[in-house]
Amino acid sequence: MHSNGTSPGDKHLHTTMGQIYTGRPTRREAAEIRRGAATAPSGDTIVALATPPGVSALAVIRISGPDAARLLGVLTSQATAVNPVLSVSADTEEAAAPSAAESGAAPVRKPWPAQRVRHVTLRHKGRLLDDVVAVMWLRPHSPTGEDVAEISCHGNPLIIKNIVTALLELGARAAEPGEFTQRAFLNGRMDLTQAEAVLDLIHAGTERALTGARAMKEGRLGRRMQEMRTALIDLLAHLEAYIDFPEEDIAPDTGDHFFSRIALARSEIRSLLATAPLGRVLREGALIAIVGAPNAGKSSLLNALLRENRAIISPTPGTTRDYLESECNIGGIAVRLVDTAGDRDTVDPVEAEGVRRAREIAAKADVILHVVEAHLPADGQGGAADGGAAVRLSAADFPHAKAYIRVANKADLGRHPSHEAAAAGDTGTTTLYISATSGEGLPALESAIEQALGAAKPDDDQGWLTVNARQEAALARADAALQEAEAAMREGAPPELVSVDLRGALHAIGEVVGLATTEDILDRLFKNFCIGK
Amino acid sequence: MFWYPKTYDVIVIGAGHAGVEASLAAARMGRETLLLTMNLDSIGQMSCNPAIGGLAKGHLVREIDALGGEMGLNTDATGIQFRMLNASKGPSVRGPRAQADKKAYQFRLKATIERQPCLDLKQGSIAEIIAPDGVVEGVVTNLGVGYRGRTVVVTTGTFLQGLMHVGLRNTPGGRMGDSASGMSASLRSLGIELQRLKTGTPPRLVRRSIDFSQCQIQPGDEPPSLFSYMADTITRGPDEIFTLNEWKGGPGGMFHVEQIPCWITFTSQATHEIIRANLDKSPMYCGVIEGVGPRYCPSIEDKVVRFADKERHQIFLEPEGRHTDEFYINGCSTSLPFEVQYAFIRSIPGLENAEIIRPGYAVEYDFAPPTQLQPWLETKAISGLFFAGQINGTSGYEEAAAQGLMAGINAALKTAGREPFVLGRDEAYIGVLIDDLVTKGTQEPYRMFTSRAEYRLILRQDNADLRLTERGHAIGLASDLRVARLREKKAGIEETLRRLKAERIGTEALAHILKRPTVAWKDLPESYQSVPPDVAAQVETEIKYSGYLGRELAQIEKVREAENQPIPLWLNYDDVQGLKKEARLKLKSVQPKTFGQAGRISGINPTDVALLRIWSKRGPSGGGGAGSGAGTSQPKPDPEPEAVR
Repeated sequence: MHSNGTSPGDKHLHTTMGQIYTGRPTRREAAEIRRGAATAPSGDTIVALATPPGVSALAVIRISGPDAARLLGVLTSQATAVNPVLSVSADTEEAAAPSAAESGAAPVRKPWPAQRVRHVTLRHKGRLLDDVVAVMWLRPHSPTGEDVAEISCHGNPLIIKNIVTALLELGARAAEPGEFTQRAFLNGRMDLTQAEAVLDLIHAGTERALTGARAMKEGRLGRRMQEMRTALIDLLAHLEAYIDFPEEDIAPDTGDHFFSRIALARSEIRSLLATAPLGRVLREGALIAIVGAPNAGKSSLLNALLRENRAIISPTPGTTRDYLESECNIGGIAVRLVDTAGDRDTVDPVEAEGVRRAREIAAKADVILHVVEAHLPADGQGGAADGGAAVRLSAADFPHAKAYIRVANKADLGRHPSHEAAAAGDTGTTTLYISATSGEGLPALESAIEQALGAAKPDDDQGWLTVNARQEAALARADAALQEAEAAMREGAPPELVSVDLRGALHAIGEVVGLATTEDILDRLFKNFCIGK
Repeated sequence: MFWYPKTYDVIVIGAGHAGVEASLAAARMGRETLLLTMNLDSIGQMSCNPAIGGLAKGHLVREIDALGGEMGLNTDATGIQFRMLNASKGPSVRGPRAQADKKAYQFRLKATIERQPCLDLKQGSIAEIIAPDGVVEGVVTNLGVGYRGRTVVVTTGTFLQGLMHVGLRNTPGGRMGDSASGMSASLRSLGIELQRLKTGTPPRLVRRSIDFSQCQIQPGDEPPSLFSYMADTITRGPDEIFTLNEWKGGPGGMFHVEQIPCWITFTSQATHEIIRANLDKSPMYCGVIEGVGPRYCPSIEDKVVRFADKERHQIFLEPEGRHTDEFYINGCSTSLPFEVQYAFIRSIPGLENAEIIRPGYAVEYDFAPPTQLQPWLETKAISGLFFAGQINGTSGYEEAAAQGLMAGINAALKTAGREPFVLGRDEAYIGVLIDDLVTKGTQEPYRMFTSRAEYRLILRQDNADLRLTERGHAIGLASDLRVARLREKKAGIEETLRRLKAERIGTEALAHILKRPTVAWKDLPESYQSVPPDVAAQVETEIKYSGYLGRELAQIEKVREAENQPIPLWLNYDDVQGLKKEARLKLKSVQPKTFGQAGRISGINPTDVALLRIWSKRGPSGGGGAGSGAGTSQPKPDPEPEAVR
């Protein structure tokens, strides 16, 4: 029943509805809508299919908004318990008490018990829709903070269409993409980092991406931001009390305490900023280009890596793949491996195009695996038989790559001593000896890749909590502002100027979790200082 | 019932600090105005401490003055001690504060009102506001006299269902010695929601019973720091006995004032013990008072309980005037029974033999949560009905006066068929005050702080005239003389700035040298020492703060840009899903041109504006919802998932 709705569900819903629902309500519907609106404190009621479209055993339809209980009530008003044995709630039987129905009076129904599952039939305009399992959450203790109903029906697209159409006719509206999450955020059920984590959680393609997404969804980043915010609000409250209440003999907080707080916040921010590169590869996957002279064994290496690390899921669905590219999972990171065409100067236009594209991809890659032949001398690669001169590659050719790894393949054929010197020539690299055919050295190569992607970490949850691009930008602003606040204080700037920088930092941190500031400063000020004559 | 033969443009109910500014502004703008008060002898009364200004409040008074209001001038004319708070901090957080002679302040103000053309002052207690069909038509007194008015400004202070507490005894009234107003029922019947707030005041002592030798003296500033940009126009006529101070010697002359000091002492451990032992007799602590009190002005009971670790609390002894021996005991607002007040006051050093001549008390009163107001202080429920002052949940004379001024201006503009006058958060503390009130409401009596202003460096008390006088002149309130002076000052600032940038010592421009923290104006060459001080102050601040000011200005520009961003013409409100029906109807009828304007429509909240912005980003063919076109909405290429758990 977990409704990790995915995008195809929305697509389906929209197109289906487009054919049936004109958007112009009938008079009866209009009356229903108005009735709904009269009791609606916070917007309208939305509905969406939360599971992928197509034929399946079950499908989940989700409703959120002030009208959710009423809508479910209307569809179940003629309901009888399908099978009292299956029915989880005892209330179902009471609700369907035959005495009321027999006497001809409107059946006396208890309100749907909150947070309880029931097995009921849904009917609309006298027509049986389906027998379903439904659950109702009452606000504010619901996923969105509003009344939420969830219907698990049979996974037949026709049944789904009929139920959703019935709900739309009764006054609900098709949810916008992301609207359930948006409502949860607006109603204070989650902060902005948690709302963002919902998307990460659904799209996580590896265990580690999942662990990181879950940590953020649990609010770990949010909590760290809140703690930092609290510390800064304390500083600001003191500063503001010193400014606004000159007659209260409040001593300014300008000494070590101030600087140590700022330093603490900055080191925390910087440790979060340091997770950004890993965050990027966790969310988007990493690109690894295998380059080298023709015949060095690039394809063998690709195949060896693929054998060891089957791709489980593509992190970027719908990406056009060409025959050069494969996906796998290395070090808990979804990796796109690109086997580039042998890199050499050539006059053949087709091959030249291949080389050009290889260089283009290599330029974008996070990691470069430069394959050489272990048994041949470092300066004798590419084979003398080759008509074109093999291009000599080094780390300097890939200035944008996070890492450049020199891989000496065919180590089973022998190791030529010149490779050590060649690697040393490329600042800070060593040569990894492997054999794509025997598998020798592959684990060491994988851990080198892991290391290069910043993914060599202890396997605890905290290590996989990473910031996304938006959070990174806000944190960078916060850090810059704190740096200025620190400098201003050291130069003896008046408190109102230091305050400008601190507020800037606080604002940026608030942005990460989606919070405003002024009232919080005042609240703290009054709590901490005895103010007022 | 008798209908008074004259019909007014603006009727102001209540002659406190809000009512006075409202009525004077409307009359000065040429509207026929009536000011009604329960008691002609308590116009502009300072019911609590006899002081005007302070941090942020002083900013408000300077702004009121710059727009052409009265509070600054009247304070300058009747002040008995003037100080600039935070003189050691930067110019943006300095605030002028003055002790005023309480009675002189009132009586001078009464005369000003009586002599103001277009303004009638009458005594009367209002029983009812007449507003059939949601449009105000006038008011009726409890004597059955009706006054017709096209607009009504309500400034009832603490008088609406006022209930005063001393210990567990309570009596109806808005101020000790005065009765309460019963207008609440009339307001409720007009659809105005009312809630309760609470405030308090300390006991007053007689001078001869205080031992000042045990107190620290707190003298005024020399020369005094004044409120009004027109202080040099204050002169004393032969019979103006309530004008205490005056300007003598014309331009280049000086302000003559005889200042009286305040005194400081502290509570003792004995004080705290007495208070702790008697908390059961405090209406605040045994649940008798339901209203919410202000956190920044806690009762002495609150201070002792909430800040138990503090060894002592400051007590300021403030004279109430030149011709009275009454002292206001600032810092010990209380609603404890008289006998407990008597005991704890006498436990304070210097007050061992003090005689209480008026007890402290708490007062509860009705206020109308200000989210019921438009940004120009007109009620959303009733056209032509304006609220200002404590009825809007504020505290403080300055906050009241600022709102009174704005309500009076807007009532006057409305009767003249002109656009409302609204100040932005980037223009004035008045703008911050009213924006906070009408958009956020308040849970406690609202007081202004400089920390509420996000553009604090720009909203300085020293440049209120530069920010506001032209605007006050444009609506017909600030006088020609005022605006002529402002323009002269502006020209002086520009000229001096130009010179400082052009003249060099060695290779460095003077402006650059002045920017150094260690260099002050007096270090500049001789030719700059004759620059008028108010011009020099502006120029120096402009130069010294320039980096930060630039950042604030850039921020303002950004916000304004967002405000003024046009709503695309293709945007169809029916397509914007998630909009409430009410919001949709309002937007369709108003057809706002910019997002800022949309946000100012009543009933449109920030979420609605956010929705409009999101929708407008999608572009004309960017895929609407189910309501667009023939209902054939396009699926998004990669919609976010809607699931949450």
